[in-house]
Amino acid sequence: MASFNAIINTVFLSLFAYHVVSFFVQYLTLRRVELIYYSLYLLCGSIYYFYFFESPLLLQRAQDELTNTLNCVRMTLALFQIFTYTLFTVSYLGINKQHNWIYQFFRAYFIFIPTAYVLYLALYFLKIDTQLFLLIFYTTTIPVLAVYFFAIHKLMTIHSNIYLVGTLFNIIGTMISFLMANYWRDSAVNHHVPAQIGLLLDLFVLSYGLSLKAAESDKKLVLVLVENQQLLEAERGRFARDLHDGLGGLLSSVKFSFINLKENMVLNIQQVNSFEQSLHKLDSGIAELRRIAHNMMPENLQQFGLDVALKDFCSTIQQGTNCRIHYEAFGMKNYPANNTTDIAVYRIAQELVNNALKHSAALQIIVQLQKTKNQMLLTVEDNGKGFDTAILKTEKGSGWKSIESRVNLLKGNLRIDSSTKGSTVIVDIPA
Amino acid sequence: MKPTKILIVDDHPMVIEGISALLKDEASINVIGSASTADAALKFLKRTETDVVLLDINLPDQSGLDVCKQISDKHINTRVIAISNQSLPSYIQKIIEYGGNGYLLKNTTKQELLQAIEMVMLGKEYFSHEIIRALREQKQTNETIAITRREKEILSLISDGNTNNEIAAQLFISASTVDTHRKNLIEKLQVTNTASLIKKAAQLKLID
Repeated sequence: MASFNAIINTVFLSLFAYHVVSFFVQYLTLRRVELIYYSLYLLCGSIYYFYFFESPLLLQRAQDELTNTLNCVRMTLALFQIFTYTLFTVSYLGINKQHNWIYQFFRAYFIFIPTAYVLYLALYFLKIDTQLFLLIFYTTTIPVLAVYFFAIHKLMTIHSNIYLVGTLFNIIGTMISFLMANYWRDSAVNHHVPAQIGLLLDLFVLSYGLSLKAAESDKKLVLVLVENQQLLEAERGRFARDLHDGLGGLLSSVKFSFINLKENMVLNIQQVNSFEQSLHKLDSGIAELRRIAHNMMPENLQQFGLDVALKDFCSTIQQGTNCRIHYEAFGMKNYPANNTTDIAVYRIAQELVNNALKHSAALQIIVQLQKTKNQMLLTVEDNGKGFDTAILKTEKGSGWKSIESRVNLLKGNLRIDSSTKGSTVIVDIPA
Repeated sequence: MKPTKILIVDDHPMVIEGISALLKDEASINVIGSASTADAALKFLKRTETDVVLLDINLPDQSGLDVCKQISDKHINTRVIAISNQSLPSYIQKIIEYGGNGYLLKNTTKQELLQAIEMVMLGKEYFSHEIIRALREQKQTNETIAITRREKEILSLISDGNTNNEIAAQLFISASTVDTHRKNLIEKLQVTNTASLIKKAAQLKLID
C-alpha cells in the first residue's frame, strides 16, 4: 500500500509540476492572465503536497504535529492557493462590474480570506487555542462557499459549468480526505490520495476549459480584425467618393469655366500660352485626384467585380513603364461581384504588382487569377532580378506585412519563390 | 441644315453651364436641355426629340452606364457621347457595349467636343486619344501569350509524354492541380486538346 501511495503522489506531483510549467509558458505566449493565476495556484498545490504528503490536512491536530515554521508555511501555502484560485476564477469566468452582486461578493471574498488567515496566525503565535476559531471559520465557510457556487452557477456560461464540474471533483476529493484524516487515520491509503485525485480531475476539466477559452478568444480576435478591415475599407470608400464626386466634380466645373473664360477674352500669345499651361496643370490635378480616389477604393471592383478590376488595374499600371503586365483569369466567368474577400485579394495583387514594378526591374509581370470550387489562387510572377526572401523575415517592408496580414485574415497561404531569374508569389485562399 | 439638338447630363450644374457656354456660339448646335440625374434625363428624352446626349458616367441616382444602355435601347435616333473623368478600360468597354457612340474625358477641348458631335452625327464614333490609348493597353495585357514558370515546367513534362500522375509526382503537387494547369494552358493557347496544345506550344517556342 505504501508503494501505491508513493505512485499516486509521484503521478500527482509530476502532472502538477508539468502543468505549472505548461500554463506558465502558455501565459508567456498568449498573455492571458488566468493562465498565470492557474499556474501559480498549481505551484502552491505542488509544494504543499510535496512537503506535507505524510502530514495531516487542514486539521485541528496539525499544530501539534508540525513545528511552528512548517505550520506557518502550510497555512501560507493554503492561503496562497485559495487566493490565486479566486483570482483565476474571476478572470477565467470574466466576472466584472457588470455582474453586480456576483462581483461584489468576490470582492468581499478577497478580503475575507486574508483576514481569516491573519487572525489565525495571531491566535496561533499568542498561544491562544485556535480550536474555537477554526470551528467558526469552517462553519462560516460553508455558507460562504454555498453563495460562491450559487454565484458561479448564476453566470450560466459554458465556462461556469466547466468550472463547477471541475470544482465538484475537487471538493468531493477534499471532503473524503478530510473525513479519512479525522476518522480513519490507520487507513493504508494515505488520506491525501482522494484530494489529489479530485485535484487532478479538476485540473483536466479546467485545462479543457482554458484551451476552449483560448480558441474562443482567437476566433473573436480574427472576427474583430476582419471587422476592422471592413470598416477601414468602408471608410476609404466614403472618403474616395467624397473626393471624387465632390472635389473632382468641383474642379471639373472650374475647368469648364476657365475654358469659357478663355473663349471670351482677348489675350496676347504669351497670355494664351500661360493660360493653356494653367489649364493643363488643372487637368493633371484632376487626373491625380482621380488616381488617388481610385487607389483608395476601386469603384470598378464594386461595380464589375474582381476580374474586371484586376484587368483594369494591370492595364493602367503598365502605362508609362517599360514593363508589360499580362493578366489572365480562369474560372471567373460566373464569379459574382461584391464579394467581401474581393477587396483583400485586389489589394494583395495590387501590392505584389507594385512591389515587382518598383524593385524587380522586370520587363514582364504575369498576374493570374484562378477560381476553382473551393479555392482562389492568385499568382504574380515577374522576370526581374529577384530578391532575398530572408529579408522578409527580418525587416519586412510594410507592403509585405500588409500582404501577410491580409492573407492570414483570409486563412490563406502565401508562397514566395525568388531567384535571379525572377520571383513567383502564389496566394492560395480557401473559398 | 437643322442644328443638332443636345442634352447635357451631369450632376454638377457648373459643368453643365460650362459645356453649354462652350457650345452656345455654334450655329450648328442647339443645347435644348440639361439634367442632373439619370431620372430627369430619361424623362426629358421621352418628351423631347434629342440628337446627342452628353452623358456623365457618375450620376447620383443610377450609373451613367445603365442610362446609356436605356437610351440606345429606347431612343434609336439619339446618340450618346460619354463625358467623364473616368478612363478605366472597363468603363469605356461598357459604354461601347451599351451602344454609346463616343467617349471623351473631361479635360476635352472645344474643338474636340465639336468634332465628336460632328462625327457621331455622321453615324461614326469618336474617342479621345487617351481613351484609345487606354483600350490599346488593355488589349496588350491580353493579346500576347505569357505563361508562368510552373506552366512551362508542366508543358515540357507533358511534351515528354508524362501522365498527370507522373507530373504530379515529379513536381510534388496533386494530380488534379496538374490537370487544372493543363486545362488553363489549353484555354490560354486557345486550343482544344493536349495534342494541339503541345503543337501550338512548340510553334510559339514555349517548349524547347
